Amino acid sequence: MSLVRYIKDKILYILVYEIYCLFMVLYLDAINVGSSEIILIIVITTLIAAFIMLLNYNKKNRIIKELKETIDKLDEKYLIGEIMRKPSNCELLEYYKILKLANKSMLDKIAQSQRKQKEYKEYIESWVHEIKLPITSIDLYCNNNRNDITRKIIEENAKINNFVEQALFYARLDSVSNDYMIKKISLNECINNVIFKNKNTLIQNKVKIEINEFNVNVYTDEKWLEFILNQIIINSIKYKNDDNPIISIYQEENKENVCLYIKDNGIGIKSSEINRVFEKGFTGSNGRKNSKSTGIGLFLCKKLCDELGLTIQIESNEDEYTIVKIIIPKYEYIR
Amino acid sequence: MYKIIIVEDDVQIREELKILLENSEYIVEVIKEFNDVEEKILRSNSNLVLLDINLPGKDGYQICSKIRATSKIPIIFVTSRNNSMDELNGIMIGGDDYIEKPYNIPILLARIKNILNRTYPENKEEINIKYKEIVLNILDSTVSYKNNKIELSKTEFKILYFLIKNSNKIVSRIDIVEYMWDNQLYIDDNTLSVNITRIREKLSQINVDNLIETKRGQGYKLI
Repeated sequence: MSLVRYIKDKILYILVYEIYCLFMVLYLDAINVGSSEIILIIVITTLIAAFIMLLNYNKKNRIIKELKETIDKLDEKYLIGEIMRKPSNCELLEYYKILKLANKSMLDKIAQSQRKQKEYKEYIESWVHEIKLPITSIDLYCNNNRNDITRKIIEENAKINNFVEQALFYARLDSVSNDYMIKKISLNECINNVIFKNKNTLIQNKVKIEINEFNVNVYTDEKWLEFILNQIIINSIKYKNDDNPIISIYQEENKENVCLYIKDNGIGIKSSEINRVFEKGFTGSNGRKNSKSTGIGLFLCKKLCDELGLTIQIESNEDEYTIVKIIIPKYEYIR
Repeated sequence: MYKIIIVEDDVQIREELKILLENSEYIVEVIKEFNDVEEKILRSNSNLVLLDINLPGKDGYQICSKIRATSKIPIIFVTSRNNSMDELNGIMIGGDDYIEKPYNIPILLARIKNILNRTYPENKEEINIKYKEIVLNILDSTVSYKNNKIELSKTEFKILYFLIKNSNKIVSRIDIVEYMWDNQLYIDDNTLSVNITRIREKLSQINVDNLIETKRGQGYKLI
């Protein structure tokens, strides 16, 4: 709050005061007060008035400054009404009450939308739970009666399951209590589980799998990592080249990290698009050609990796290969 | 043979799971009425329990802790709840494993086998598998006929093992490939042919000829 602005705001008072001074001078002159006395009286009253105004400015400025500092420190700025000191000044008190009211309605709105979001998330979770039952029984039916048709059904069922999982992880994203459990897991087992999941699709598509045996344990959440690897493998199948597709999985280990590489010899990603593959909803030219892409898989991978403290990188040469690299810290204390 | 008891309220899953486990050579009992489940489990004399968590009446956790009060029978939770807290809960309460629906069938079977082997180390599965006079030895991965013996690679061994286990029927190529994948040997159709040829060569070295017959368009059968 600048002084000039403040004076401009008070221009009416100053004008009234000036008129008052004019009348005073005329009046004092009329009752034969000497001109030097008149000047003295006017100067003194003006000084007093200016002093009071400055004092007032100073006080208001202090209050505003304090408020500004408080709001700067505040993360959720809309909570200012809850935190500011209750003013003693009756004018400010009215503003304070109004601010409080506005705040309250804001908080109610936020609470309401949070509740709605939570309810929706809970609904999705229970829906996922329900739909997994029929998915399971379809899988069992088909496995107990294996033939060419049921093999196709198993394949499609695996796709359904993946979409359901995507929905579940999407719903859990950004929720306050992200649900994961860091424990020691065998990377080998994790990879084999993902291959099991896609067994039918991989065999049907004649994809060759090359895994170098590795016996390394990492500390992370098993389900999340499996989900992430699953998205990558599914992409590799989706964007395979048609003759002789190969997916090779290998690892490198150094003091701090285990790096997991998933390399395919598929159609690759255009260099102009590679930086955008982790964006939500980004499908790129491959996705459009393929029209099966949702732009959610890799987006979720990135989000979950960030949450788990893993690094995910992607490298590709169009029509040659795609390598996804996941860096997993070796130690228990992640984040 | 081990006996497994299934506690699952979804009828379809229960029945299909029963078929699956019976096909994998287990004796299976299912619970259809969900009162006094603990009692029924304990009375059934099973070697392992597959326990769902969401059940009418008492939930799986309660049943598990009731059982744990008196018995050490291995319990695998099988559920579609996939929340880390649920999993932790299940293990804290004394469950031996926790498998999510929809389960990977080979993984489910592998875990069951693991836990059974761990719990009952005295009766491990057979070491030798016989077909006529041909003997497969699991420990040193060899096949022998009369006094001749020859070593097989892991892939060759598994193929022959699978053929012998299914010697009563024609085994299709895709069945073999899928079985190999279940055992983490990721072979394709061509590799299968190569391996079959190699098995035949090795078998003829120990004087077994024409054991594996090719049924055109259908697969293989042991004679």
